[in-house]
Order: sequence, then structure tokens, then C-alpha cells
Amino acid sequence: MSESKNKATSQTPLPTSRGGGLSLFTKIWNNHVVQTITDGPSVIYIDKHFIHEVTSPQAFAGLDKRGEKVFRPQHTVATADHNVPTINQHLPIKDQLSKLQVEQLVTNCANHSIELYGLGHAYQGIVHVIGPELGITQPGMTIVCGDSHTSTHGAFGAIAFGIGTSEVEMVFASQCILQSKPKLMRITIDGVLNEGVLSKDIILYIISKISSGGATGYAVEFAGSAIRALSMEARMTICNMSIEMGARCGLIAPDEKTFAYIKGRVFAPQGGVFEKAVAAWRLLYSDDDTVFDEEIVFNAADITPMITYGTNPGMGIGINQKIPTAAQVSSSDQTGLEKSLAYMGLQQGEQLMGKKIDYVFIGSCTNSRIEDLRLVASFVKGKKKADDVEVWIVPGSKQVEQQAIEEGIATIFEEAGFQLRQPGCSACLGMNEDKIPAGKYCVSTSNRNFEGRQGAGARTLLASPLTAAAAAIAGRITDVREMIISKN
Amino acid sequence: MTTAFKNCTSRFVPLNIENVDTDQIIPARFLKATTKDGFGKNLFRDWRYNNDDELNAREDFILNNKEYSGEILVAAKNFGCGSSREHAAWSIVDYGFRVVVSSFFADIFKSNALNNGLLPVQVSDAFLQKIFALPNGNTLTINLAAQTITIDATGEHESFDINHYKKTCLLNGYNDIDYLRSMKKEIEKFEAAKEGAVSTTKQKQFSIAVIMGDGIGPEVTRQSIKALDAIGEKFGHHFHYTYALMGADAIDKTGSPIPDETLEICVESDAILFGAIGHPKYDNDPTATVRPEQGLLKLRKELGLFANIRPVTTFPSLLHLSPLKNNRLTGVDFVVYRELTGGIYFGEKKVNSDYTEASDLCSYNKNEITRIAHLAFKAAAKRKNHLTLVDKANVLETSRLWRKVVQEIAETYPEVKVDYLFVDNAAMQIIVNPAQFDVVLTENMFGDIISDEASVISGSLGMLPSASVGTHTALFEPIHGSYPQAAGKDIANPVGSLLSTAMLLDHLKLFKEAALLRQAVAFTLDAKIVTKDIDPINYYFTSTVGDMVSEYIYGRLPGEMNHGNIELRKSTLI
Repeated sequence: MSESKNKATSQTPLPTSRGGGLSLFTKIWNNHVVQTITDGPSVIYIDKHFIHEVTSPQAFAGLDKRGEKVFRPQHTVATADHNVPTINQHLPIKDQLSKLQVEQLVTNCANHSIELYGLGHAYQGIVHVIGPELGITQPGMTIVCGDSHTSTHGAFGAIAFGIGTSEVEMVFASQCILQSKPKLMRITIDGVLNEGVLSKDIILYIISKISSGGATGYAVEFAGSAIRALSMEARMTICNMSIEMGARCGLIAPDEKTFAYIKGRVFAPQGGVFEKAVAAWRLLYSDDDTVFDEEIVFNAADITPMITYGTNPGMGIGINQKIPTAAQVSSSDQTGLEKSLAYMGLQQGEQLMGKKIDYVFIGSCTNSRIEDLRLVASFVKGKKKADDVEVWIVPGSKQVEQQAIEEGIATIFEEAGFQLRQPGCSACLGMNEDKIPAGKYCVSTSNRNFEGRQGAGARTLLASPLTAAAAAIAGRITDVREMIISKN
Repeated sequence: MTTAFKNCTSRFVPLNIENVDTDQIIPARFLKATTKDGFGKNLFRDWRYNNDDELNAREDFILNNKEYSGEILVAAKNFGCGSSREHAAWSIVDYGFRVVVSSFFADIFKSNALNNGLLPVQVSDAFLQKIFALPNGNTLTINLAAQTITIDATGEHESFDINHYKKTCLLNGYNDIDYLRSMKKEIEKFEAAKEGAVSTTKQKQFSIAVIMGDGIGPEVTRQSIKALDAIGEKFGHHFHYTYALMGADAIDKTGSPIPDETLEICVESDAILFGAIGHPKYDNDPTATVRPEQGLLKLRKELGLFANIRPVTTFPSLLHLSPLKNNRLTGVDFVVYRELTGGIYFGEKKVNSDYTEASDLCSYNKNEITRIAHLAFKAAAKRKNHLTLVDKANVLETSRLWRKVVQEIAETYPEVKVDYLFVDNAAMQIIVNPAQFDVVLTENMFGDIISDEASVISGSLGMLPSASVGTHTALFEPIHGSYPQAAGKDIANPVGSLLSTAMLLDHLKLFKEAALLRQAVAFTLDAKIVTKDIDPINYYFTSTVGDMVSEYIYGRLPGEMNHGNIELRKSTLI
């Protein structure tokens, strides 16, 4: 309080001027415009291009057809994550179509001199986990990938967004992409989070407030004291789900935490180069006088553990709340509500707390980092899962898996009856064998609860890793805060 | 080119569902394809069939209702949300639709649609409701040029937005990719401005930091600059040199063994060409607090140069100089990867107060081992697919960690054969059978010893190059020192520096250029144009050897050399 007062009464300007009216997004954008087409999009230069086995083969085929090579292979990094099995990764992939895709990735990368962290490689993992983990993702960059959750990398103060396969081919051919500048939105969350509330709850809360299409056409900057207080892993969870409210990308201004996270990672700048880079990264923030097209402010204290009840990520409620009734939603949303609840086997006005569940999935590019696993392990240590619940923990990368083993987290999971599997996208989208059977309820730390997303007929309830872990122990949807408090 | 889109008049299929996500349009299990064809049959798969059974169609789903057909799909708001999969657009096009009408589209879907000639038409909620209210059989007309959508029966119409550029593309069947490919020159210019290193289609530009240093450093490095200039002219590249101070030379001029400016120049360059540093006035003064070598250590640290790479080869014309019997030299061609920033040299150092006991800590972490191991494995994969880890795993914990990490990484390079040697045995093997090695990987202190041992095999220290590589600017230097006694006499062997320059070219991915430089060096050796250390009787000056290498690169040398002409810089050729 005193500080803001001092500022208000002081006639002297702030020691460092942060004026200039440029947002974080615009600063990065302007640095990457090769050309602006009159009355059209801009040609934007791409610093890092991540690729995986599912959305790249047709793009390579396009190049090969023209007898072309990837223009800047050194800016491209590949891994296999979407369709890979999460058990027995040392054996040949059983599913022949998946095997073919993974083999094509290997051949394509070799033909085009692209660095590949394929199955079995010590760096393999979910593309949005390994990029930051290896220090490839850095502030001020433009980053694309044929995957909508590329927005994850925005947590480092980068413009990062998902693209289609035609665009993957464009980046291969020219290291550029055609994009129109999106509108700018800032979402500020101030205050202190309640105990048991994680960044996953923040983003589920935001999407429940502004809907699954509420940020379509916008680049969203997350700001405020509650965001600043989050670890890098937690920030990634927030930016990861920006796409679930339709945003082109989500981003957070880099700060000391960002620099400390990057420092010393395998592909991060080293020594004097690092210091130089940090000096440039420190300029990446939205100027105080930036005007956003849309500003939304939330209070961190209002957020409780969240869970979704419907078939899009905007259909979320506080863990203690009841599913809304048709009367409580706008008329245009009523049909959607009915259709969703019919699919989910739930009723309007029903309480989710106490509801029996069948599966728990802790993984995906949203929540499979080492911090997520540590958090879950510290919560479940000494506890056992409910008998009739199956629990899958799928680490985001080989490095996370290795850390989990070295830190004894794997043993804790084993004792709790949780299955620690091998890295991949797994049951988030059920492209491999990890599918939830029809009609079964799965509390999932992933990002989408669409119909059939985790398997035909599967019923997904999105939640934080803590809420998922609590459900695994209780066998029912539970308010994790009660378990933490009872423990204390 | 894609098919051009102008107009469309057709009946439509009404899909009155909001938030249709791409997982519904095409479920993930159908993405395991490597072509763009055939997705139409799985469009809305889970809504079309019960239990994924094509014989069990859901009658209530609109696509299964034979009454409805057409090239236009009309859907409720927020169509195409969720995943970025372009397969969604491919499946809609493959099914036979050319237009999707909705009151709101997700971003990525919209651009995917446009890239496939599928036109997303965004209308107002009110207009959308009018369309949904139409009895079956009605047609809609979309006129792209006029940007209008019309209900044909009533004439009611609305205009829709489309980016002018995208409209032009669609009307003419232009592709974004063709446009971007036509932009290559501008993109290269942009890259050059961004990175400070130009690369245009014709001329590649490289910035090289040159640190000549002390003693013979300047005279050997000058030969490399001449060779680089020749390479540049021959291949149309431009090497831009920035000279920087280091070592005794720098202490004399600035008081510091490595001024900040040198660090800055190195950081900003594409590569560093380094001569040698060191001066007897410091070697003989143990009390000196500022020493030339501090410059190199600081540079290594600042640039994070964690790997030292030393190739060891023999030259047929110099076999007689080797201390080994010549029959052991056939096929010797290996390279030592020495870790440079960890281990006992950098661990905690302790002495007790009366200086009767001292210790040095040897420590490594996984990351330090991993990054150099990948470099070594990659090198092996490009060479003879054989890697030898030299350690002392029977005694040292750090060595056991090296083995563990290398074993893990080995799994990702299945084609590379890996074996392990204890350092004592390795030291013997290098003498007994040096031809057995391809890539030798080892930690800092072992590498220091082993690489010096290996360097004498070729017969002259003056012949051997090295590279120090980190995550950023790499440094290239001959392994010999500043040899102050020879300084200024034009008698030092420039081959170590020239071959380091060849490694520098490899590092810049100028492989043909590097090969030509090596060929030029081999030519001078075969032609016996060598310095005093190689042939104390019929020797040539440093600068003459350098001149001959450059002339060879320019292609100006005749097939037969007349030694009389080139002796003692009297050459008529140059």
C-alpha cells in the first residue's frame, strides 16, 4: 500500500522508464517481421520449429515432391511423442501405423539433417516438455509446432503457437510463416492463491469465466502478482491451456525465475553469451503505458480447486460447486449443456464431490513435468490408491522419468499402487494404446475433455495434479484441501 | 497452386452443434497417416457410427441422413476449436465440402481451411439462425469476389470478411508456400540483419575473430588468413576478420590478458581462429599475478567451451619422423574428445595450514558428460562408427558415472560400436596399436595426458590442429605453443594452424572448402614444401608454405613443381 502511495504522490518519474506503449507481444512480433503484405498478413520469421511424427509427414512429402530440402534445419528440433507406446519403449512399436509414422520421422529427419530425439533417446519426450527442459525455448523467440499446445512455450516470454501441416511445410521451406497480428488481451491475476490451489486451477477458472472461445483472435498476456509468484513449470501449465479459450498464444514476461530456469540447460547460452542474452531478455515486458484491446482482472483468492463436468474446457466449476442447470446458463448454451451432460452421464445441478471415478491420468504437456510429479509424490507418500481405480502417471520426458527414479518418486508411486509409465502424450488424446474405456470416468491432468478425446465414449474430468491424486486415493472426486488439512 | 475458388451454389448440410472441436471432426486415432488422402470416410466418425461400427450408423446424425447433401457445411458457433490438426480440414474437403458456414471459427482451423481451398464463411448469429430455419432442399450461394452469402430462395444475403491477401490467393489458386518460397532473398537479408552474419544465395559471409597472440602465433595465423582469403575467392564467400588481443601481447598493450573487448568480439563472431599465447618472462616469474594463460582459461569459461577435439592422423611423407615403427602407423586416423571444463582441474583444491597435505576434488555431473558424449557419438557416426571411452572405472566413482551415462547415450546411437578402456591400458594401446581407434572420449585430466601422447605419433607437434567447442562460438588453434625462440624468424610450421582452419571450415558447414584446404596441405607435404622442423636441411619458410597452400587453392599451381624456383622465396610462381 505504502509503495503505491509513494508512487502516486511522488513527482519524480520512475527510475527506469517503461514507457513506449509497446506490449511484450508487439516487441517480439516487431523483431520478427520480414515483410508486411499490404492489406494482408505479415511474413514472420520463426526462430524454433518443433516437429513430431503426426503432423509432419505430409509436410516433408510436400518438400520431397519439389525436390527441396529444409531451408534452415538447424532451427528445427524433432521428437516422437503423440502416438508412441508408454510401456516397453525398447521393443518395436506394435501398432503398424504408428510404427510407420515414427519410422518416417526418422527417415525424414535424416534426409533433411534435422536433430531428432526419437524413441529411446535420452532427450525424448513430449515436445512441449523437452523444449523448455533442454533450454531450447528462450525468451523473445518465435516458436511454432504442428500442435496447438505450442502456446506452452509462451511462459518464457516467447510468441509460440500451433500451426497446421501446410504451415509446417511453409516453415520447412522458408523458416517463415504468414500471420496476421492478433488483437491483444491482458489477463491479470493479483493476490495470493489458497492452499491446495495450483496453476491448473487458475487456468481452468479463467476459461470457465471467459468460455472456450473467449480469447479467439487474441494473443493473451498473463500478468499480476499471482502469476509472478508461480514457478516456471506452473507458468507453462497456464500458457499451455491458452488455446483452450481460443487464444492464438499465451505469454508471460520473463523475469529472474525465467533466467534462473534457463541457466545451465543443455542448449541454453553459456557463460558470457548467457549474460548478454539475459540483458536483452530483461527488455521483454509490456510497457506501463501499453493499451490492450481487452483487459480482464481476477482475484487469486477467489479461485478454489477446479474440475470440469462437460465436454469443453470452459465447462468447469469449483470442486464444491454444483453443475449448473439450464436456467443458470445463457439460452444459446442450453443445448450444449444438455448434449454434454448426456455424454458425461451427469445431471444438471448435480454435486460432483463424492462421485465415484474409474481412472486417474497424470500426464500430458499440461502437467507432466518433474514439479508436477514431485507435488503428487509428496501428497501420496504413505497413502494407497483406492482399489477400483486405475492410476497412470506418464512423465513428460525421459529426463523427467529418470529424475523420478533417481529422486525416489517412482518408489512412492509404486507403493501407492500408481503405474509410472514411459514418456509420451498417452491418454491425453488416446492415439496410442492408452485409452479410457467407454463410459468410464477419468480424472485427468490433461487439457481437453472433448467427447471421445481419451477414447471413444470416455468421460474426462479435467483437474490439477493434486485434485487428480486426491481422487486416486479416495476413489471419488474429493476436495484436496480437506485431505491436506486433515493431514496437518 | 491449389484449385481456385470463385463461387459456390449448393444445398447445405446443417450441423446445429456448437463448439465442434477437431477431435470430433477427425478423432485422433485416424491421424496415423502419412498422406493427406482418405480422411473423408472418417469425418465425424464417432458421431456417425455406434461403437465405431460402419454397419451401425447413427440415424439421427445429419451426415447419415440421405435427405441432406451439398458442398456447404453449416455449423453452430466456435467451429473447429481444439487441436491444430490440419487433418480436420482435409477430412472435410475429402468428404466433398467446399465451404463451412458458422457464426464463429477457431483461429487455427480457419487458416488450415484456407490453406486447403476450403472457404470458412463467418456470418452473424441471426443470419446463421435463418439458415438453420430453412427447410431442406434450399440452396446457398457464396460469391467470393463480392464476399457475399445469399439464401437463394429469399435473396437475403450478408457480406462476410476475408483478408484481402487470402481472398486473392483463393480466387487465383495461389499458395502461401509459393509466396514464401519467392521471398527467399528477403528472408536471407532478414536473417543477416538479425544475426549479423549474412548469407545470401551467392555469397556467404562469416565473421571470424582472429587472436594471433604471442611468439609464433601471428606468423602461423597469417598463413591461415591467406588460405581463408583464397577459399573465399574460390567459393564466393566473404570472411570478415576482427582482430583481438590476448596473452602477453594483450598484457603489454592493455594490462589485461584478455580485455573485455576481446570477449565481446569472440561472442559475436561465427568462429575464433587462435594462434598461440605465452611468453618466457611470465614462465620464469612465479610471482606474476597476471599471466597470459589466464586469458585462454577465461575465454574457455566465458564461451562455455566444454569439449576439446584433437584429430590424430599420419602423413605418408612424414612417417619417418614418427617415434613409432612405421608398420604401426598404417591407418592411424582417430580423434580425441577431451572434456574441458570439469573434473579434477576445476574441483575444490585444499591444502592444510602447514602445507603438508593437499587434495583436489574430481567431480562430474551427468549434464557435463552428456553434452560432450553426444558430440563424440555424432562424430563417430560420421566416421568409422567406433567410440572408445577411456576411464578408470575400476577405481573412480566419476569414471563409473561416465560409463553409466555413455552406456545410456549409446542406446540412441545403435550403429556406433562402443568399447571401454582403462586409462593405463589406453596409454599403452596408443603406442602399441594406434590404428584401432576412431573416436576416443575421455574426461579432462586423462584427455590432457592421452591427447599429448597421441600428438607425437604424427612426428611433429607443429602439424596438429584442435578445436574447442561449446554451445556457442567455437575456437580453433594449433596444439603447439608460442615457441618464443622461433618468433619472427619465419621458420615455424603453419600446418597446425592451417589444419585448424580446415576444422573451422567444417564447423561452418563448409565441407567442400575444408576438404580443399586439407588437400592443399597434403599437396605441400607431398611436394616437400615443409618447414625446418620437418626437414632441417631442405626447408622452406613459414610464409612460403602458406603461399603454396593458397596458390594451390586458387588453382594456380602447375602440375610439376620446380623446387629451384620456389626455394627461399625466389619463386617465380607466386
